[in-house]
Parts: sequence; C-alpha cells; structure tokens
Amino acid sequence: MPEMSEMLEPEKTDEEVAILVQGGDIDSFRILVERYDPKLTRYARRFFFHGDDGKDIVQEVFIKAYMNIKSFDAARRFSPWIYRIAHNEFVNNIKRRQKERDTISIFDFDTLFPHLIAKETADDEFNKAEVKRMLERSLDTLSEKYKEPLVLYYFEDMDYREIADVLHIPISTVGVRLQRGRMMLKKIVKE
Amino acid sequence: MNIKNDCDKIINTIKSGETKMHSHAYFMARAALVLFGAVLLFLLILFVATFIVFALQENGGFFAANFGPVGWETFFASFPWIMLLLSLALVLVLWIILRRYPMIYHQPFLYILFVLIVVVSLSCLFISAGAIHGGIYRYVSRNPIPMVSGVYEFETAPANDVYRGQVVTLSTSSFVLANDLGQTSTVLVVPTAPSSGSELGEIEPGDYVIVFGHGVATATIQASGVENIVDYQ
Repeated sequence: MPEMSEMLEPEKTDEEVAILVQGGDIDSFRILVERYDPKLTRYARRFFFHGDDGKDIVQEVFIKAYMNIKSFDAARRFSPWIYRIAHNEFVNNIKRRQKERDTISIFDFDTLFPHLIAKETADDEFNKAEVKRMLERSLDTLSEKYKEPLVLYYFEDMDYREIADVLHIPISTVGVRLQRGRMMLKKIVKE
Repeated sequence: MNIKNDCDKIINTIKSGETKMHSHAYFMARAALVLFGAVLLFLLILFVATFIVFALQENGGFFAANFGPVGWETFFASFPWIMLLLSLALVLVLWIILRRYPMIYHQPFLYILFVLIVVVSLSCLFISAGAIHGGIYRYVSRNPIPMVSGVYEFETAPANDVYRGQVVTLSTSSFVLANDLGQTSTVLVVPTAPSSGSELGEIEPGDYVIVFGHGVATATIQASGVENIVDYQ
C-alpha cells in the first residue's frame, strides 16, 4: 500500500521533490524519506549496522540530508548525493566506534594513478545474479575498499559515474575496484 | 509501518525546529571560502615555483646546464629541492581542498598534478621571477627577516664552478671580477666557449656577471661561459 504522499506526487522525480524541499516544503521531504529509507537501511546493513543501530544511523543520514539539501544541485541525480552522505556517516561511525583503518585513505594508490580498465562492462543477467549470490555469501570477508563499490553496483544498481560520485574516487578506479572485488569474491568462494 | 514511524520521527524532528536547513548563503560562503583558499594556495605555489626559477638564475644553475654533463651536475647540485618539495606539498593540499568537486575527484591525482605542473610552468614563462623575487631579495638583504633572508641567501649562493660578481677591468680575453666580499679574481675566457654564453664583447666594466668555469691558479678562473645578470643586492 503506497503512502499518501506518494499517491499525491507519483510522477515527481527525486530531483523535483528535492527542489520543493529546498523551497521550504518539509512535507515533501517525507517522500524522499519513504523512497530512500528501505534502500539506505539495506545499505547500512551491508556496513554491519543492524537493528536499531542501523535505524538510528539512517535517521541521522536523513537529518543531515535535510540540513544540507540546499547544497544539492538539482541538475545532478539525487541518489548519489544522498548515498554520499550515507557513506560519510557510516564511515565516520565505524571510525568512531572501532578506530578501524580499513577505510579508503587519501593516499590510496588506486586513486592516484590512471587506469586503463575504466570502461563500464555490462554484465549479463546470469553473471550479475551469480556475483550477487557470491556477494551475499562473502560480503563480510571482503575489505571495505572492494565491498562498497560491489554493493553499490550489484545491489543499488548504480553505474560507474554514480559510484564515483558516492565514493569521491575517479571513474576508472571504480572499474578497477569492481574487477578486483569480483576476482576476490571468486577466490573466496573457491576456497 | 516501520517506514511510516521512521518518516514521522524524522519529519517531527525537523518540524520541531531541532534541525535547521542550512541557507543557500551558507553554502555559497563555504564555496567562496574554499575558492579563496584555493586561489591563495595557487598563488603561493606560483610564488614558490618562481622562486625556484629565480634561485636557479641567481646561483647559476640554469646557466651551468648549458655546459654538458659537468654543467648538469652543477644544475642538480644547485637545484632548490626543498622548494620543489614544498611546492609539491602545496599542490597536494590544493588537491585535498578541491577534491570535493566532481571535476577533481573524477580524475586520478596524477592527471591533476600533471595539469597543475603544466599551468604553473606556463605561468612561470610569463611571470618575471626576477621582478617578484629580486625586489624581495634586495629588501631582505638590507632589512634581514629571520628565515626569509636565510632562504634567499642560501638558495641563491653561487653553485660549484659558478662565480658571480662585478667586472672591474676588461681586456681582450680576460677580465677582473670582484665578488660580493670585494675579493678579485682574474677570469680567462676560453676562446672555444659555447655560444650559449655571452660574448666578451658584450661585457663592460661595472656589469654584474655570472661565470661558469674552474679555478686554474690562485685567484684565476678559466671560464667556459660568461653571462650578464642583474645584481639584486
């Protein structure tokens, strides 16, 4: 059963709704929350945030999104913008809690050098489903560096450019990380 | 139901006024601050880059590079490496400041570094290093400023096999050179000197010159090349 606000504004894109929110329409923000709450909760779960922790952190993401909505450029897509806020929030939270260093550093060599493997390769449905299955099984064993692009690509259906916008890394690096991540997954599954 | 509760909680928090939306002006001011910082950093990088050019002009590094392997050795020995490292560090800071923007983070760092090096190098071609740093050097020579005076003196000191001073007297194939301390040397000009150096005919008594050569006897220098320079002190 769709929410009332969805029924009233079924045709509006995320970007159009965001413009309404920028204009001060708080109730329109509800549409964005309804659309992205399940997605971001799922995304948070893949970052090891479960149950109430996950809920709290996703709520924090929405609050930050609201506070910063005027920095959103409606000429660009809304989805990478809110995922970027979520990414920052999750990474900062992990750092605060575990002092974990397995996050992407400024001096990651992948982001420094140009890579030839930059083209987006369309997986066929079989391959995509196969990688998704492997990813579901082995997600916890992958490092953040490779896990996040794989999750965004296979579960959140983002393209290379959108993933680059979420992670703030070069587009060619997305291709490299996806390729290496898939290879790691296959190795893990074989073992 | 869960989603509805989550939505209500978020919307209620916003409506209660606990959370305020940042204004457009806030983001404009932040962007302007970043831009201002980036421009300042870029100017600082240009300043350091032009200092490198100035130091190599003054210490004879550029001039020495015209004289084959020995000259290149002098060039590398006289190169202000610390300044180069400083400018690279500033480039890194500039990249960190600007990498919030897609046009920066979409590109590998080495591309950005390459573009910046090209832009700074081209800028250095159009900016007179002497005009900027000559004045500062002159000022700090007369009014010493801690650190700054030291850096200017150290990086512009003549390199090995490079002599700098004022022409006192001139003959057909030699001249007398007085250095900053007033000590004089006789400079013998090798007839086969590469054309990159100035002809002796262009030098007049009272000129400030830089000489690339080696000592052959006490207070006697056999020059491979001579060039007019500006005396900033």
